[in-house]
Amino acid sequence: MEFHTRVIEDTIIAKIVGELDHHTSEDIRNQMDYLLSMNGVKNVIFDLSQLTFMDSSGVGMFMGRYKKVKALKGVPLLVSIPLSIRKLFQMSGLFNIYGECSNIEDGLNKVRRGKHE
Amino acid sequence: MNNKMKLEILSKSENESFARVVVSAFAAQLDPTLEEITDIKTAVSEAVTNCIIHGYENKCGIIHIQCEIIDHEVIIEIIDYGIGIGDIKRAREPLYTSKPDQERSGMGFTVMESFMDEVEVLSIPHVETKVIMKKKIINNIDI
Repeated sequence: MEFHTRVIEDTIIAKIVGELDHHTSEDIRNQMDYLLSMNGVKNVIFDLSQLTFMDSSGVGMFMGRYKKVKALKGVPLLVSIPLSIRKLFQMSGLFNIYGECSNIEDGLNKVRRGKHE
Repeated sequence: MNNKMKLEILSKSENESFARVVVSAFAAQLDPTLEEITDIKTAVSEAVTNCIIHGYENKCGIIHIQCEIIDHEVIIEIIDYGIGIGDIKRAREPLYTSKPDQERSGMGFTVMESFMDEVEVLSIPHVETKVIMKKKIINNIDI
């Protein structure tokens, strides 16, 4: 598993490449919480275009990051959820707490609009 | 088709991906669809993760995985010899977790149940805990 992050304005763009399970979710959790503890950062866009596998440990990681982002009054978003993993997202209710957007640019626009609402 | 395999691994989280890949490779003999393979992989991942986190509470133990193919069905048994499950009914409830402090989703058994045709859980605490999962691979059945 590889995990790439960059920060644009007050938004973390986090790309997960490979498999997300109990073993690999720990790394992501730590890195995300470090970034979310920085001043002014509050939104997250997870880019899942290269996520190849996920189980319920991944669900736990996404739920936990949602809580952190909400506590900061930020916006949590998902981009490019693979078809094979959509079933698990649907089942676990992650679509009820994360917004979905078609690409990173669209996500950043959503986050910017969110500020004026 | 009839076939069997048996695998013994240590309860290390690195072995979660190893276990699911081995089981799905074994099940591939039945020529499953990509979706069926993903279902099996995910269910195995849940069961093995349970052994590591709950059965052995992150201490080192042995996990046995036995798979059998009978006709068009794959039968997967995942066994640990850790603390066991006192209340199986409760453990299987969606969103229930015995470790709420560890950011567990409590979805493990729910995922196994929805991705496999049958899931049976047997536990004698501190002796043996066994999850038996069955799935019919319908892709290659001639109609």
